[in-house]
Amino acid sequence: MTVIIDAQALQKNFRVAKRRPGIFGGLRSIVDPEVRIVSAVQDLSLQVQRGEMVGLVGPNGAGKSTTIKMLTGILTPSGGEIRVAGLTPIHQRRELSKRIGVVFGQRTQLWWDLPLLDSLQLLRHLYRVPEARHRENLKQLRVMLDLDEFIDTPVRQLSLGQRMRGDLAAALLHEPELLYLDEPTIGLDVVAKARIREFLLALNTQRSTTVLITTHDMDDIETLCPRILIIDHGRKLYDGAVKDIRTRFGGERTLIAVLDGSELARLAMLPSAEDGLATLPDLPAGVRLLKLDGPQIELGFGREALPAHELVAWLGARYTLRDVTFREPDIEDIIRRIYEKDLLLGDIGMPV
Amino acid sequence: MLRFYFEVAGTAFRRQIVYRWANLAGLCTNIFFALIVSYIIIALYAVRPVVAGYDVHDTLRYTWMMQAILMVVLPFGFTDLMQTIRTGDVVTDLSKPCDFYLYWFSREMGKNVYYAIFRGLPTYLAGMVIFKLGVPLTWQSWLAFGLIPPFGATLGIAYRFLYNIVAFWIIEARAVVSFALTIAQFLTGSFIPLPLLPGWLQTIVNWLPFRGFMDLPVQVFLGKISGSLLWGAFGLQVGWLIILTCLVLWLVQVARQHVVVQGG
Ligand SMILES: Nc1ncnc2c1ncn2[C@@H]1O[C@H](COP(=O)(O)OP(=O)(O)O)[C@@H](O)[C@H]1O
Ligand SMILES: [Mg+2]
Repeated sequence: MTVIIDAQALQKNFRVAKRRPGIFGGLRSIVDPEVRIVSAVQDLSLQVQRGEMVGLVGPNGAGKSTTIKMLTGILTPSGGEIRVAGLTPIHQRRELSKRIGVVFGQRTQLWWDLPLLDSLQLLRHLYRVPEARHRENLKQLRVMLDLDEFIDTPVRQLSLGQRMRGDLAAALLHEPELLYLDEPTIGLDVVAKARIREFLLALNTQRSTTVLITTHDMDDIETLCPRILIIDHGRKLYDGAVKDIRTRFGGERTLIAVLDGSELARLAMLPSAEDGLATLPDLPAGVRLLKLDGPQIELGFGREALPAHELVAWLGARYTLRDVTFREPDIEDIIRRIYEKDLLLGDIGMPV
Repeated sequence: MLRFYFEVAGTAFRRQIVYRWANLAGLCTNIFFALIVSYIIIALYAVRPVVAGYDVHDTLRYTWMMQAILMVVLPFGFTDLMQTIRTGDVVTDLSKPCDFYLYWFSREMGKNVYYAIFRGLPTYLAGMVIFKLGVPLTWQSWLAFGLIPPFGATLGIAYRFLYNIVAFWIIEARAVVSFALTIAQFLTGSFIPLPLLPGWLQTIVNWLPFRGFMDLPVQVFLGKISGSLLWGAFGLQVGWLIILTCLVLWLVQVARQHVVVQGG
């Protein structure tokens, strides 16, 4: 495997001029501007291998778009080193732009008033793709993205999901080896999102295009990216496999047990705590009762508290069980906890 | 790469065709405006048969020709570039593997060709029908006319690019647009024909780039300027074209630096 993106200690500071109120304030701001430095990205290192699909996750303002822009060569970093496909983005921007595709979710590079096909044709000349190859690529993308139903429709009349598919086609017609997607599923409905995810998976497996995707939709991450980077306030909080996040920071799992109807009478007799919720006597340490609803019991327990099968055994020894299922903690909740508590700040140097 | 710019122009041309009803409305406005001005001119000429070498027929021709090429050279409400700056789309345009100004230039040229055919031609034809304007019959006139309006159009593109690109640095860029258009309309002669201005003002205006936008092409069309006077004026406009283009390219460079460092 070879490295396609290699960024070391990336840094980006923006200077934001504060405006003073009033006319005189405005004049003074011109002569003597009051400048505040916003640190959008701090000490971010990132390596992506060819063929990987990596998610960049973080709340609004975390620095995701800024990172993508630096990796594209649109923004100069204030510090750090970047190599993308062996090139320095800011100095070899044009060369790089022929080898990467970029889609910004809230933007479009399509001609608003013209049929989608017109924009796609024009791109052939921009990237100087030979006609036969362009035709072949377009044919493939038409099938993969199901463009045919709207390729002759003016872009302004397309739904958001259709437009996004058009933009994806536009970004991929020159067969880039690397695709950056900045919030590609923002504002889309469930069906449209699913379709785009399906396409990206196919693209990654069939053409082995490397994909770096920013999002705050956890379903995107769970279906698409084996690996994620979590950033907040411009800092990297986590870089590793999605599945490891659960085991490392996974909070509580939930056991959902349905008891036999004959147990209802016993359950009704359980003593109540002050908050009105019934209490189960002598629960093992680290286990708590979350819900009691008819014959259904939900118990939350930490991963380190006890193995799942022991909890089932414990419960089975006391009640007649009909059914037992487990629910893993929601990845979104875990990640929210990570940024709320800056859980991993001390952890950055850790190998994952 | 040249092919790409031609394709961009073609695409811009087709984009304009989408707005055929808007164009029709605009055409009516042009004709209506030219009509009103024509009747004012006719009334004024009742007092004096010739003003500054222009008889009533010349001035009518001047007026209609100005109306005809107005949308080619000095279109109102061109804020497309400004809008991309405001929305940030300009960032994607700047990172395309093509020249930023040539890209916009090609777009505007495509539009210009559309306006020349679907706005200019019918406007002048209307004038021909209503006021029997006729067309000049000397071949020199046509030769010079074939040469100069493209220059005027190119100057016009550089100018509209300039008053849009200020949006990178000025928040109230719309005010700049109105100001730029008002100034230009006066100095290009679309309010008052330049040949009818007082002599001292004409001397100043003749040295400015605006004369090459429309007044010079129209004078050439009317056969009012020829010989060394024409080539002198033409040379001056080429000079302005070089200056304005350099200014544009420099500002694009500065803007790019700004975007690259400040994110637009
Ligand atoms: N051009 C800019 N000028 C000043 N501040 C900016 C600029 N672009 C982004 N920022 C600031 O940098 C931070 C990161 O922004 P961004 O990368 O857009 O976040 P995200 O894409 O994760 O929502 C935010 O605090 C934002 O306000
Ligand atoms: Mg963003």
